[in-house]
Amino acid sequence: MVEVREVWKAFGPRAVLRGISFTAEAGGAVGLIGPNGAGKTTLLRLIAGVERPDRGVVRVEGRPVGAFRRRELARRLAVLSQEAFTPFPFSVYDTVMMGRHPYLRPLRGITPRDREIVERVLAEVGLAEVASERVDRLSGGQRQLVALARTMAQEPRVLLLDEPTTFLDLGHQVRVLDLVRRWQRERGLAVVMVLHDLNLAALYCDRLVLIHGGRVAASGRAAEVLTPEVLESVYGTRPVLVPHPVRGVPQLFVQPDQLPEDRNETPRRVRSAGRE
Amino acid sequence: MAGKRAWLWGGVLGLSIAVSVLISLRIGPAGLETADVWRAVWGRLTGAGGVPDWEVAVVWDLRLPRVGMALLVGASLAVAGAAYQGVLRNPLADPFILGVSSGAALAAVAGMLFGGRAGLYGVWGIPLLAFAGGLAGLAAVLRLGGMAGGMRNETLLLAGVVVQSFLGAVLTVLMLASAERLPGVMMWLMGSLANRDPALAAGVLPCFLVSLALLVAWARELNVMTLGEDQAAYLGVDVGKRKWKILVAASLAASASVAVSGIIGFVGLVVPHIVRLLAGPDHRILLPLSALAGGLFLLWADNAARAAVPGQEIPIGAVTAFLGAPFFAYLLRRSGRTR
Repeated sequence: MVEVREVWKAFGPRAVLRGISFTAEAGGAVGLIGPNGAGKTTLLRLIAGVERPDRGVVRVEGRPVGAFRRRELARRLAVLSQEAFTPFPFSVYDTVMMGRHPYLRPLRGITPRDREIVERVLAEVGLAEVASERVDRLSGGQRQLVALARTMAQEPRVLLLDEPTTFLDLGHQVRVLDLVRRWQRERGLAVVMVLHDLNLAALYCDRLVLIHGGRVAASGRAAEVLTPEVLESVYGTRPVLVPHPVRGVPQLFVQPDQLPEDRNETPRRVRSAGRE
Repeated sequence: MAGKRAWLWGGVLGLSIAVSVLISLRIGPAGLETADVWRAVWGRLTGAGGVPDWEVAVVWDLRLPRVGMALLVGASLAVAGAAYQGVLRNPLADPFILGVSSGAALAAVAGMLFGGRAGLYGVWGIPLLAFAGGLAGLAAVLRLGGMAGGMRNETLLLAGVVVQSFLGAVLTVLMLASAERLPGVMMWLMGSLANRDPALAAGVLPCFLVSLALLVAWARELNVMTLGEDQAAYLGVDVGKRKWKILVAASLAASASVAVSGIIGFVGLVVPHIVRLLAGPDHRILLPLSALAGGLFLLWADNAARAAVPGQEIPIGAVTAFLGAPFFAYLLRRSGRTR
């Protein structure tokens, strides 16, 4: 579905990506993780076709991204980023209808099918009751659901998410990611998401690609990528990893530096998921 | 749903304009009563006799062109303002702030002062010069402001102030170089519809119509672009090209109107905001309704300019600034709070 092959990208003298490769299959979710400035967002923008790679190629459905016209690409690939709403008082319904833009014909305008899709998506996301409200009057969490509904109204086959849960409360984080996962499974969506939260990444991605200094430092299933050694080499801090009590995927705890006052708190022995 | 509201407000505005035009035709030093105005209007239309020639002349040759020009200039500025605000995602954008008015004014003044020698007479000369000047002013402000996707309000305002000061300085020098025509140019600069050559309007009307038609045709894209440039690209808009086309089309209307009326600020800022409050932000509705509301607003600003001080006329730009500047302050305050 999405194939990233030996991609290089520099901004001026600063090389941001140095030969990145990975693929995202239909029905699967790839999580791009890594420290700040690792080049994750640039990589996402390359896949979305708003930046061009200096070397290498990004293919969507086997075709280089640059070969698509924007409208064609927008019918196959949608992007949910952190803050993408308008400063003007559009309604929830109209904002989600913007997701149909790549399908609209100049003279025909909105068709009954477009309305049907928008209404279905609004119901799935749970925003049907607020459809006529102004987006700028909603909470941050609801606004992100509106943006998610808009990307789904695009009926994409590839969904890119750039830190979709930053600034959201716990409930909305889980709702957004659960919805994405349901769509990914039900409609065979190929999902590529940039996530800062490694625990969420472990829970919601089938495969992780850890990027460090513009290169792939590790990739594979969560248990293969999220190990104390790998994480220490990339983040410079050694976390403790334990299996998720229900899901079994590794979950991570950071360890604060040991100070003299901490000595009377006896450290508990933890069975680490990463090393036995 | 939104369509019904659009027609409703369109009707209300259209009716208000019709009534306002009739009232405006009465205002003036000739002391015509409503009945006289009616008689004069009918007199020319039907060729009926019994109406004094001077009355017909006052109504048809002095007042109607002026009313028409007020409507046209107001509509142009408001449409341009609505488009700028949408495409730049900046509620504070308007032809005045963006340097379009100053650039157009400088080019137009230069054309008026030296045009005789350069052979630039004709209906199209001044509006086209103004268009070129307006685009140059806009380019300077956007360049200076960084043009980066989510250009911040403050940056844009500062860039506008810088460019306007510079263009203003050049204008001052130009005007001093031709001191004998200073009062006329001065009055023109501050924005006025007095003593305009109606032939100029003939050059402005097509500019306005072309601009409005193009912008309405691109209204859906404008809607999507308010989500931000990246998001618009993800939704299939060819942002790079479309953005420039929209800016150029909006500048055509704004610059051409400057060629007739001089610098009239705040119309393009205030009117789209009010229309958005009444009829929503959808540009398919916002643009045509802003044209109507802008015309209505400027017609009354011109009436105030003519009638506020008996026996003398104040520049219409002063009237719009008097109303618009506090509104601008309010918007600035509000946008500062939400950021």
